[in-house]
Amino acid sequence: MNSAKGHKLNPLHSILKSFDEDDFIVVKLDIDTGSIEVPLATQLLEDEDGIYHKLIDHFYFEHHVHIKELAPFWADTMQGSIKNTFDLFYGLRKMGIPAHFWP
Amino acid sequence: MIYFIIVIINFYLQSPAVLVINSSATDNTVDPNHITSVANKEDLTVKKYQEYIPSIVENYLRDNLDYLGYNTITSNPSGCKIWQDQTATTPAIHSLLASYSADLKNYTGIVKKFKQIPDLLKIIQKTNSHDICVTARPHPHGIKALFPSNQLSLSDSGYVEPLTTPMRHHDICTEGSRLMTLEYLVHDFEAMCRKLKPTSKRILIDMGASLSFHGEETKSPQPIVELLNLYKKFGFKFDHIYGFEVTFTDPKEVYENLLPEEYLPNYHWINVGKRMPNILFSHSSTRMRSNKTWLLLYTLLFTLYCAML
Repeated sequence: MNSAKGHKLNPLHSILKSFDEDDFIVVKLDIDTGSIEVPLATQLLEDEDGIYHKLIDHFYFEHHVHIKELAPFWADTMQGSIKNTFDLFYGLRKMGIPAHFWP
Repeated sequence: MIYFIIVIINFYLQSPAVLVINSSATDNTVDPNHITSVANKEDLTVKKYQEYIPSIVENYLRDNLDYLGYNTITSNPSGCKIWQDQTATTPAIHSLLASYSADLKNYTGIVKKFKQIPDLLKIIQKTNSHDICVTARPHPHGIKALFPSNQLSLSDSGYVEPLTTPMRHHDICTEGSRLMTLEYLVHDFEAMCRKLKPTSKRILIDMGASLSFHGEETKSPQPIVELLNLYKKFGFKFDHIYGFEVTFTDPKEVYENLLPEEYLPNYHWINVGKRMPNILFSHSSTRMRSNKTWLLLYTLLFTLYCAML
């Protein structure tokens, strides 16, 4: 898997974009590697081609940010704040991608 | 008090544009062949929506992230305090959270008891109608009727749970074993059904598939299996599941031991990435669960060590 835009192994590019808005599409992102998954989530939020919000019907993502209750499990994978999470998830929902926290 | 007023205003603001309300009823035992008689009546479900409408609680949290101490990376603020400490928010918000918690518990029980319905898309294709979608209601008046706290947010796919901390089920605040439960998620399957077209394909792109299907033999299935089972119960069967995983896993292990047979015709396993083989855990559990298991083990050993001292 690769998070680079347009890369063959970027699922948002090679798989997701092969469908159309009449399809029912669920995306789950939980690879526990911030350097890959955060750029992928950001690409959805930026939606440069204006297509992702039309395609995705539900999006599930475990965003590893600084929070007390999950810190023992996330440890050094935590990046960013709870505010970052709210900004991301609210932003996605507002643009038409129902985003959910994933355990 | 002001939030109760806002709740009422919010309800009326939502009602004319978003909701159509009346008292028609159906239930989980509705015969698909007799749907037509009830499908055209008004109800409490989403018929038309234009933009995301967050709930009062979600709006409050988003507007008060700084006040709550959630805009920091130099410490780990508690996500549970909004549920446990009345002074963390306001009495009104705390009361709404308590009401929502009760609604969610009731909803969870109803979802558990919900009897599996047939493949909705197949019936839509056969009848060229969405009348069948009423069978996906968890309540005769629609999902919203199960949440009198009025704290569901309204999305492009119908009602969803509000965004709240601790970014999991709030039960983890008092019960650590609930860490992996999905019971905080709310899905409006009737609204999702109404989005289907006769030509729709139903797709799941699972990035971080790992050994996600492992757990069939355990009491608690992996979350992705739990999600698939939930969708299946409410009439959604995926035509294609794309499982991406960066940690090497023997395909023989995936297809022979980990993947339930029912998903074999629809599953595409794409095992490429940057991680080296995880030999230690490749036959026992997911990577995340392994990390958590080792963390718990270290914690236990450290506690024992301290006790011996």
